[in-house]
Amino acid sequence: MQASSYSRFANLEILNEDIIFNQTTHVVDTLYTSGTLYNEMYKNSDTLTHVNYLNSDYNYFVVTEGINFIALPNANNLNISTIATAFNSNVSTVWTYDNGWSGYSNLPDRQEKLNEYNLSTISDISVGEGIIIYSLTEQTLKFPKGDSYSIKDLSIVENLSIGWHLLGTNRSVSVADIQALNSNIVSFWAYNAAEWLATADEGEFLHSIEKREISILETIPSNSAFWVYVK
Amino acid sequence: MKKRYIFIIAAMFFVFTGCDSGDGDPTEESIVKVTANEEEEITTSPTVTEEDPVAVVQSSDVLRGEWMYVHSGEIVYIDENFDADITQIDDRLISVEKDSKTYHMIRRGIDTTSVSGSLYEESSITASPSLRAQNRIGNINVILQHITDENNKKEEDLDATGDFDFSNVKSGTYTLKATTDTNLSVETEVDVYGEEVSLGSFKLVGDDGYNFKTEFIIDNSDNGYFYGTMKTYTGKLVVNNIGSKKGTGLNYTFKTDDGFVADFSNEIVLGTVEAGSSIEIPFSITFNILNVTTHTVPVDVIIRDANANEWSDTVFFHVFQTPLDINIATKESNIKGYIIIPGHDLVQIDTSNASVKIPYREGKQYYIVLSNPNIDNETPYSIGVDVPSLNFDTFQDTSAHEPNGKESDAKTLMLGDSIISYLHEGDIDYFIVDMSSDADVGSFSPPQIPFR
Repeated sequence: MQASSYSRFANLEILNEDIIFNQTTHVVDTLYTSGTLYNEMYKNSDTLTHVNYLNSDYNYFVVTEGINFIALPNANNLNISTIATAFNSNVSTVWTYDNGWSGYSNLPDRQEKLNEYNLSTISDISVGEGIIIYSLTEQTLKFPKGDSYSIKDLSIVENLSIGWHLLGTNRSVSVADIQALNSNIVSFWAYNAAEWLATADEGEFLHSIEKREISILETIPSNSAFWVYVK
Repeated sequence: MKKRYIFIIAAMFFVFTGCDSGDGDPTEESIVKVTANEEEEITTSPTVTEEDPVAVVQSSDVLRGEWMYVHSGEIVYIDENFDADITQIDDRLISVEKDSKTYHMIRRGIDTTSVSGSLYEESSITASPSLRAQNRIGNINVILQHITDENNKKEEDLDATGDFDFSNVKSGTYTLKATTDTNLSVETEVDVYGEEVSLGSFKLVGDDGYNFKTEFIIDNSDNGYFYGTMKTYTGKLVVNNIGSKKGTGLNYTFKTDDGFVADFSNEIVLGTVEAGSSIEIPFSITFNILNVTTHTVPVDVIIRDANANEWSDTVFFHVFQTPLDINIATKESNIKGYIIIPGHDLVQIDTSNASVKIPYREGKQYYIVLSNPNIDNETPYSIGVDVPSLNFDTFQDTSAHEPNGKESDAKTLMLGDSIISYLHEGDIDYFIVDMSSDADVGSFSPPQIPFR
């Protein structure tokens, strides 16, 4: 059989420069590689063509238009300059919660409103914090690359004070695993695809959740924020 | 002598009540018997004294307003023109004798509503999408006039803010009319129901101008209430052309950045609207889970025409966190009455087996009032407050929970209670649903973002 002289990939990630394309190759969706490799070898290549390019020096994930509950995608904290880069002007507002709301926006009218509401501005976001954003479009957010993490490995859950906490995890984790770390957590809430999911271990809360026909939350998905209430 | 028309002229005497039908034990406390007549001249003191059992009572503002027959839902307006014998049982309950039957009426609404809104003029609107930031004007005379009762009227001269705020308004439909000494004006009908009514913004225009006012109609609300349960409510935003000139090539923008709105969308509808006509714009809105018992969501409406003229308004959605189920069942025939919600919104009951959703409002009291003028409709019934109603297998105590024929005798039901009682001919039964619960509302559901 004659070898094909043309290859197609849906997505392709190139990790080092040893990869040589000796036949015409087309990436239908996204080519991932480092910025250096891309600029030196593939940006204008005749043998490797692509539709989209993403710099593999970063972590990405897609958010939908509207409210998204997200977490930092790796174990790198964000400072004010990386926050400004990660959350572009297509993100209307960014919110974190620590006994009250803090907000961030690149949009002047939203910044004005933060002042109007006397809300503090987010200056950094730490690993394990949950983040709520309102995205004006479906888009891909870009974060500096780093190692993955799980909220249950951060010693945050064990030390929560009474009240509501907005947490975030990069790796998926079960509600039972978190509850095992802190028995004072009495309810969990997550928001995904415009739907709330919740669970509680006290009858009154559980009754309220069931009465509203809210889906029961069993697992916190990856890269997502979730609420816990500590009694 | 000044001639005044009143509608309540009464000889003060005692009518005695035993059970709830108005006849019975003469040792019970008194109630006032009043008679509504037309064009009577009042010459005596408005006070009622027991020493003068035939004293004329002037109490034109006591019963004036909208009332509703408990058994049928028929609404009547009591004023100088109401012609029937009325027995006032308490502030919110009266009865009327017709054809040897006792019919009960409850007040539809309250007489202590606060009504607010704002006015702006043609040249003061800005390009800002935020209606609350727009310029407003003052030196305006505003009149709130009931549509049928000329004596039911409020009037205010505004300061420079353009904001008006009437207090102690009786529930009903009114004409709002505002005029300036520079010949700008607005005149339109408004509904006033509830404890606090925000009418939104009104634009003052010249005689040859055109003008708009927005309202909404919901297809799938729960007895007129909205809940923050992620349920999507659909309906129509109705833009009424209340001016004297057609609006040409109109387009509409709806905006809300309220953090409790999970989703809002509307169809795009364009076109010309004749004076006196309206256009309906289908929309849907989903309210997020609330971490407070109630929250008001404003939606800004901006209307532009083909000549770049602009109008603005705000409509308000009052959203509640928790629906409660009032479960009602009867053994024999339908039971009729109302659930009276604070502010005297009324939810009608006409059922033999139903669950009625009402909003939980911490610390408030709701009333359930049931009435039966006919012998054919006597029946045992059961009420469960957020729990199932009871069955009637062993029930035979027809005096259970009596006397409860007026507000002050109402039996109290707490959340989780269920009872069985009996409604006989000419009976009226009152219950209080007490929501003075210690539920920790804030810990039920998480905080919502302040805005989007």
